[in-house]
Amino acid sequence: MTLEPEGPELRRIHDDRVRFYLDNYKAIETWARIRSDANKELHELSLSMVDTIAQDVLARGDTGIDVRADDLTNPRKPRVVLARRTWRPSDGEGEAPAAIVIEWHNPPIDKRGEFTMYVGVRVGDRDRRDKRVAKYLSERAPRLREALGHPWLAESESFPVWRWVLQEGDALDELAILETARESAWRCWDTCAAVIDDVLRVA
Amino acid sequence: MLTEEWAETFAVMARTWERIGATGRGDVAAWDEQLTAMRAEQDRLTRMGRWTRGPADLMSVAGVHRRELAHSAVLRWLCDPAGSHALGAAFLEQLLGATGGVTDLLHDAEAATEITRERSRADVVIRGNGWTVVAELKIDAGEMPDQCQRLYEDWRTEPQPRFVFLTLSGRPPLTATTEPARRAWQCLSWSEISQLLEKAVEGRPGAATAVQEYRRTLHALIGRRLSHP
Repeated sequence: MTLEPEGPELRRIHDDRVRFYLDNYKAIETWARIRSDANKELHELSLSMVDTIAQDVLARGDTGIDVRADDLTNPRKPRVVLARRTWRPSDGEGEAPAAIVIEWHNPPIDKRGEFTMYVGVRVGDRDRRDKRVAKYLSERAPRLREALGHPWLAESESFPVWRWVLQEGDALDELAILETARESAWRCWDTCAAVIDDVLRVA
Repeated sequence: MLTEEWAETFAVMARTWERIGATGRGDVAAWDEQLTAMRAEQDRLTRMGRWTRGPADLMSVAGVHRRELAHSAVLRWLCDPAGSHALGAAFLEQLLGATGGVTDLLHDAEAATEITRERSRADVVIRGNGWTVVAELKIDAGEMPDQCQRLYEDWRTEPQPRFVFLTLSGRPPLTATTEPARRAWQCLSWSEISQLLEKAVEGRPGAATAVQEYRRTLHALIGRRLSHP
């Protein structure tokens, strides 16, 4: 007695997109692995903004501004930090309770292809945040956002004032992104630094 | 009545699905063309030996290529005329030449890192007969409060002191707060250090492998490809 095959007949996958992937999966996966190298380069290039912004500080003639890169406090969210030296605790040690920050995710491009960078006023990590400074800044944030206009209209707990730095189109132009971040940081500084001065005086 | 509504809903869904399908098929046809172009570009890069993965120098592989401490250690080594780099005083001569002129008796020079004084800590200090170079290195780190002013104050009474501030762009320090200190600090970029090392290596085929390695690191740091490995 011969056994008849049971169940549905095995057929090739017909979905065009899946077919395309399966027919070319080696090349696609080889190319996808470039993302980790690209991310490393993007991260280091972003860190290098600290030097460019330090040149801006010199050009502005305001050497009371401290600029530094920080990829150790939270390696998954490295940042370039601009703060007045007077914003730091009086002993000169430790973080300023508020600062203008360019922050990005590390890796900058995730597996879905999203690039993440943002600029704004940062009030410190939750467990180390000066709550009074955060509260005062949060109260003043709507006016600051209004003064900055689009695209500074979002709000968050850590960033009372902030905006995304987004890449438009299919290609990622790293220099255009960093230039946007730098310009945004200074725009944020020019609008918010005096308010941070006031808040730190009151708090 | 309910069945009629369902029929209408299904018809809308079917039309939407058909539209999505057509778009998807259009995308896939375009992808084929893009894939062909990308394959050709990959082949071209492979033929040129440029389809490689990851860094090509040990400092980058070890993840210390942006750490000032690691660079201080290498620069100290390169500035030691008796160092095992086999460059003799060539790199030190280049560095001195770029920061105010070469002095005599370089072979007596001694270099050290992380020298602490009353108010400051110098990254690299090179001392010779009647001269001193104090170098502060920056890549990602910012300047500490009054850092370059304090370094200047701590070292300005040394014999013929030279203060070298080394950054990616070759910018002046932000923390030299007095006019004499601002004047004293000479600025060099990592790109210039790379050029000085290239000149020091010229005509010295016996330079240590570690020198070649560091050339790779500097080229990666400043974003250039080493032309002759």
